Amino acid sequence: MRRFLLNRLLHTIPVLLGVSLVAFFVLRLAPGDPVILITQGDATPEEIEAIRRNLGLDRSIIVQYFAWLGKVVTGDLGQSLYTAQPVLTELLERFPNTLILAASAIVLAIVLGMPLGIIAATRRGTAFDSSSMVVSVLGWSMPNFWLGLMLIVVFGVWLRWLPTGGMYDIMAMEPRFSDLLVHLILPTLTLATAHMAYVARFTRSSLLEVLSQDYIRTARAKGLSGWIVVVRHALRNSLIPIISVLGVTVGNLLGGAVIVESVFSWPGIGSLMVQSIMNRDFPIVQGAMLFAAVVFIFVNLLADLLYAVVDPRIRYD
Amino acid sequence: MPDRSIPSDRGFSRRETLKGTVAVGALAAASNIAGGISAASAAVQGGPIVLAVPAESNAVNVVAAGGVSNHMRVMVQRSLLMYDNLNSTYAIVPGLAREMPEVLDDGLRFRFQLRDNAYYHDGTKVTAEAVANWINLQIDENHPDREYFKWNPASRLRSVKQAEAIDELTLDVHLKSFNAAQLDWFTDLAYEGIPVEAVKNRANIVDEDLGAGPYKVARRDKGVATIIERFDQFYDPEEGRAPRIGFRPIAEMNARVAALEAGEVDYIDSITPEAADLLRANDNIEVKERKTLYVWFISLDSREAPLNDVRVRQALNYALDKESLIRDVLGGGAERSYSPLSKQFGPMYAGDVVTHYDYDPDKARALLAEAGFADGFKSTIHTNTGRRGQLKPIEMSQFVQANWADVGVEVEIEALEWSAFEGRRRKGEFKIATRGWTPSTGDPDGLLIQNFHSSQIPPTQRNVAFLQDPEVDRLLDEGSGTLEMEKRTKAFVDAQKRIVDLAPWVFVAHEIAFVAHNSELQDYPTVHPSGWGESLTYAWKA
Repeated sequence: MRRFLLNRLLHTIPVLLGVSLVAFFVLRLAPGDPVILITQGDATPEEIEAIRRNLGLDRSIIVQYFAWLGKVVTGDLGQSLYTAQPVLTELLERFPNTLILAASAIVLAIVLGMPLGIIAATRRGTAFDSSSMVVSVLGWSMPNFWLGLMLIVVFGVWLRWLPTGGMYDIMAMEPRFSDLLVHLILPTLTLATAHMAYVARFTRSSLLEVLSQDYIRTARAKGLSGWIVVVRHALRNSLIPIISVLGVTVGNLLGGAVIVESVFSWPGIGSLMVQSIMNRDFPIVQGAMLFAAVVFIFVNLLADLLYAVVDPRIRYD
Repeated sequence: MPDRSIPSDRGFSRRETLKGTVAVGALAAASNIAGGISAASAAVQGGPIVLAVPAESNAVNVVAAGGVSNHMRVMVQRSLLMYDNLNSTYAIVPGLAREMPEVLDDGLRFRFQLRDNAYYHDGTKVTAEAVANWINLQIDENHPDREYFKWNPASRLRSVKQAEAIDELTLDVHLKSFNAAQLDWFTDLAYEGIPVEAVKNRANIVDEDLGAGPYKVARRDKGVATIIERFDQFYDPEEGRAPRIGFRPIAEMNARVAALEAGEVDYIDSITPEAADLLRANDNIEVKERKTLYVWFISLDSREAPLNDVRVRQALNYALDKESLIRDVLGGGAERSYSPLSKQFGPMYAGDVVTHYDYDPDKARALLAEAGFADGFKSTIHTNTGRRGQLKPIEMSQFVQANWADVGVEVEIEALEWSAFEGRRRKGEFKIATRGWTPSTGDPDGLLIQNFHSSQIPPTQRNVAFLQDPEVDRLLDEGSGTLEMEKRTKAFVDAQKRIVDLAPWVFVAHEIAFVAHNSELQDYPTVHPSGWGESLTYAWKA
């Protein structure tokens, strides 16, 4: 196990290097000068040059990259071009909020998606199977910014049951947990819908494959009830591909959060990234991409370790 | 000899200001005696107000802020001078200064007498030393505390050579050279100052702020909200009526509209004409128009054929149906532009006296034929892909493209991301380019000189039409060489007449911005043309 972990961690080095390259160069190769944005066009050429010099943007792009990378390996992700605050501080302030949203969405996607997939698989070919799969195709296809706005209009504006955005009532003297939960409902639903549909479809197909295996037929021949066969014998074996899908889903959730956080004014890393991309705040965007990559790698590593828990045949010794 | 006395119509006269100060003092004293309550708390009215803003402020202090909300700046900070928030005009009135400054050394030195009752939010008194130290720290790289200054100096400090504290409340600001717009520049919040000791504590500047405005920062949760609350030590008890004001960042316009309709926020801005129409149907919501200083124009590089011929440039003005563009593309969210300055510049507005390029394709064709381009010509319009404050650049360019095609001028549209566009535009790389421009002060000096004076040629300056006309230069120099308003007005109006005749731009539109608030918001000030003056310091929620 230790060897496996070490091996996997060593593999993350080239991955992170690749991410760092993409994060650094894509933004810089895209048109747009952060100094023009910082000064809002209101500065003399001399002032612009001075700012560019102060920010180190006058050096060659290669020199800038290695200077940045040198700091990154020591844990210093640089400073925001706008606030002069450390990037890591800015990210860590926002990360818990993104985590709350993403975790709620993944829980909802599993809690609703898996049973839906299981029922559809066990009732293959029925009206329930067909309609649940149509719903899941719809859920998967709906753009989440559109879905978010529709939910806001219906539940926030028309019915006034739920807040239209934010994380809590800003004028409350002390933020309450119940308030957070109420604010969490619509963004979670928006973010979870597509993934719920994906989990449902994947669970269904994975379970169907297992249900056609000989040992399932044997179990049924022994006289076990349908649900016991599914839950005790089939489900566990169909979990491995589902876990691997969930690992990828977490990455997609982080990506989806960028849009959902913007629609619902959720103060996470996603909305910070959008704001920073618009401002060409290079260090924040680079830091956020690296941060997301680390989270993604960690979650997938966790998924790999979970295989061994679910399937005793898998060992990492 | 230029007249550099303070113009009486740009603010209260010294006598009026003193009278006002005495009256407020007497009122405060009277209320203390009569009711036994402080004058400061007497003005509190109604409940807290919540504003939705498109972008969160990076920081509270203007210097460190980047995109800080204008509303918050006006409420949390206070400069030496300020625009008249109460009446929503560009009249300049004293802020931290007790009265308008004395102009000395032929306009190279301004002497301020600061109020004796102004305080920063940490309770420290506003002194000449604090203001001078903060100004000098920003402009002097050798200042002993410079290491604590991590931001970019405010552009409105570029005229300043040095600030000097003469005594506790007397401040001299020395200029590098005469600047007729300096009074407007003194309204910039970079002239507010920061307590000397607080300068060394950077965190205070970024997040806590030590402004001297009628509201102080009570809480700041990044990405969620900033809450400001009434500052009881503020010098004018009439400002700061609502006990607390919350700023909630909502980037999506539709989400802002929904939040207002749902009653979660009391005020929103930066909404489209279409959203404004939608909100007008709601009986609980009031929509207001903000007529602005903004101008949307198409610059025409006058160096080479065919645009070096004034008849071609005039033809392009005649060939554009501005009214239809404003109606069909902008949904009525603008006024037609006849000259660079909008009506909001008051007496400097020249729209009534300049040549009007009313839509006339026949006249455009005739002018093109006269100039030897009877069959038209081909070129490219450079525009940007959109940004707050640029209206709808691509759709507007497409409208222009179709209109010009009717007179034989075929243009391709090349749209670039904003900062790439602006970087190249400022280098003078585009023959034809669209741009929206909001002057940062109510003084026309900046807009006219930067865009039309021959000394402002790219790549170092911004006259991207490369207009080089001695008569325009002379009139602009005359206007910017005096503080006397009558002379300035005449010179700038005459300059605009000449500029419009030379047609270095196609003059298109002045934006009308829309704001909306629920009907519970009372005493909301008339919408200020800049957005700056829309201070809710006098507003309260029923």
